[in-house]
Amino acid sequence: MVIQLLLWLCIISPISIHSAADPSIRVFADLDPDPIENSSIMGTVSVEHPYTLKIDEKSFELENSTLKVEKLKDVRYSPNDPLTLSLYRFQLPPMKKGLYPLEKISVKVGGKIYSTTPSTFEVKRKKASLDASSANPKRKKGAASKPVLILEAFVEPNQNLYPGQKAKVGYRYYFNHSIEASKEVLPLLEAKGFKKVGGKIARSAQGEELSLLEIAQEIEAIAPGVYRFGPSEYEGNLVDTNGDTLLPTIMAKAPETIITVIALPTASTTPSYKNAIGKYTFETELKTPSRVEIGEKMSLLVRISGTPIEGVELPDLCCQPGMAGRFHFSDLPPAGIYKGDSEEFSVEIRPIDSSIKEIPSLKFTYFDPNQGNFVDTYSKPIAIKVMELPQAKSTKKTSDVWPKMNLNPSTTEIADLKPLSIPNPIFHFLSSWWGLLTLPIGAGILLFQIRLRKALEEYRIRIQNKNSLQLLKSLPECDQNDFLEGIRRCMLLKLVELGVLSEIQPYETLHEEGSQGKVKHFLLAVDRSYYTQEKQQKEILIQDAVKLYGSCLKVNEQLDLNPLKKFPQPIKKGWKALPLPEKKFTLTKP
Amino acid sequence: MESSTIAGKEIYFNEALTLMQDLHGNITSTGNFNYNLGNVYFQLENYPWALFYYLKAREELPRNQEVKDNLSATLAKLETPSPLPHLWIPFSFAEELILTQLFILLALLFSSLRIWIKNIYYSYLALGFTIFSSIALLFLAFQFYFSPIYGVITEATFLYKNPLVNQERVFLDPLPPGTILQVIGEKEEGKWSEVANENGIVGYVLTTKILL
Repeated sequence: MVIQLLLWLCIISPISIHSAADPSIRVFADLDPDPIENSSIMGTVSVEHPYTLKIDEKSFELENSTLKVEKLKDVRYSPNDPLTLSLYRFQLPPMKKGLYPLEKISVKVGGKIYSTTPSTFEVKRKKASLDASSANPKRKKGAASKPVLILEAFVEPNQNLYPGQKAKVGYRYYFNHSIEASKEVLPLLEAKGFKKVGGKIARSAQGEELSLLEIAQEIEAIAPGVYRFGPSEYEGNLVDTNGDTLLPTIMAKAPETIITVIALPTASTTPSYKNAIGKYTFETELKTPSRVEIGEKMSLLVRISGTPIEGVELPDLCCQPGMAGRFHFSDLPPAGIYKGDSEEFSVEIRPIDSSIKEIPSLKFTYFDPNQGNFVDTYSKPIAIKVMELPQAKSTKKTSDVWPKMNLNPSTTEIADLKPLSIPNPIFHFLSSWWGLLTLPIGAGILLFQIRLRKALEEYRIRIQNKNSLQLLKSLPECDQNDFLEGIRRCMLLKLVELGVLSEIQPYETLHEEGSQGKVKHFLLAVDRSYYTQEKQQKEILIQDAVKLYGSCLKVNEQLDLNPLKKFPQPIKKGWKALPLPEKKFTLTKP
Repeated sequence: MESSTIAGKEIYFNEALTLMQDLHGNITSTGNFNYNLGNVYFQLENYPWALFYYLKAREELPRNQEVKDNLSATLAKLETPSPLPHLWIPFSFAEELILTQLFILLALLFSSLRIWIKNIYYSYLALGFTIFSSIALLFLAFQFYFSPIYGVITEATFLYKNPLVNQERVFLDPLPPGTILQVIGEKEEGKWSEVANENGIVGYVLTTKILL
């Protein structure tokens, strides 16, 4: 037993839980209020469900029979809420008056069936449009009376209107039995061609024999013309005291109603006329003291009394005789205040001249529909005293305050213009950042000068440290430029070493005779050949130089001009030079 | 400029201004040109613009008395004149450049002489002018990159705490035209300029309201 119970709990319960209804889904049914007997009864079914679950519209059932529904709409509560409200309309067949149950209405949502809660509803008898159920106490009880129905159309005050004029139109029903209307033709209440003012107003009254029901509508005439309404008709069924409809029907008719809208006379453009149609009085009253200074504010009360007072506007006062050019009006138009049959306006005015003695008689024009013409009505004038303003203490003349315009320009306090010129291109270059190019260029020039100086020093050092024999031996290694300098220096240095010269000097300054002459002539010949077309080869020149060098000194060694060998020993001191041959030296021709 | 009436003078000065503005794009602005522009604006009674061009002329003609006098006259015309930025060096940038190059050239000259002629005085002179030119170059670079930039307000505008029009204002009253402010930086791709007044109060103004 226990085991079976446990088995049921373990197996059946999950299935039961799984098939349980979704608590978020709910179904409601409502009928339209006040269902009337013998009329279709309309209702609404509301289904609240997640939007993901679909409603099977063919599954609606009432008392196990299919209920035909018509979908109205789906309403999502919010974008974040999955719940949706779906609305459906349904119809029940006509019923007699009484209390009825509304059985549950079921519907399938998401595959599961959900139902409404059963309720009850009452079908009522249709109320008679003309109800004579409240009996007149003066009426004799039990007296049978013939049913009476009279329909009367009315237009008040009269059927001749003017544009803008208001009137009350409607129907009056006189009856002695309750009548349920079956047909109504009441064109006067629609009042086509007129402007409706407000809604329909119903009024009922009880007479000795008859009851009265009056339905009225206020209208306003718009355009001139003749307007025909009707004939009007009312037909209905008598209703007994139990509320049951009796036969036969009863009917009443009203003849055609004609409303004529008459055009206003043409003289309707005066500023004192402001669409006032009726009969009015016009009064003014000063609410502030009558003794004022120029420009001081005065408050003038304007009162218009008459009927109809609604919509009456204040006439233009600023341009009326005696007001224009004498009083200054406020920019804001005054608002009218209704007091019974009157409308009051508080107008602010300021006198602008001390010669003003009164607020003149003001005119108000209205159209009297009874007379059919415009009527001018005037207010009484009001005496005032306007005083001058106290004199200003300053005695400035107008000419001082408003001096004569000086059209001639005065001298300016700034210095004159400066002449413009084309800037010097050098100055323009130097005054720009491009001028700083002198820095790298100058640095380059300096660097070049330093290198040049170094090279010259090296050369000088290279030449100055050798004796004449070394110089002679180095001649084969010299390049073209150094060779000439080298050979000159060699010969001259030799003369210095021999003591013939004290120092190296230009060979042009040497004597013509002796060793100096020989050297001079040799060097002249070398120069001549060097700078002329008869260029001698370097080796020949060296040979000649060696011969001349050797003839200047008696040496026993062989001069070896091979630059790879070591230099020979230098000249020893004490050696004297042998005298040179008298023959002039000439270069060996190739 | 021989008009005898104010209206005529205004017409001629406006024509002159048009011509000068056409020239402005074609020739290099010089001190005289900016001075003349300032004069034209002064005659047209546009004192903020006159102040701006006189300040530019003062940068290029710092010792010119006429520029100083006209500046004073312009400041007198402005309702609330700002103090002028102080000129620490009575030379224009162009003159400083030329002076620097002169030092460089002299240094080069004496250095060259020193290379060829061993004279102690040439050495001293070369060294001296090298030092002067180095100092001048450093000063030029410092002045070019670090000297303050000034602007002149041309239309009355508020000084804002942040670069947004609906932000809180630094002062309740707007800055009047002709106010001289130091421009510190810019925001929003140049739409707003960060400025400081003579008291060091920092704020933001629209760049369209200030002439730099």
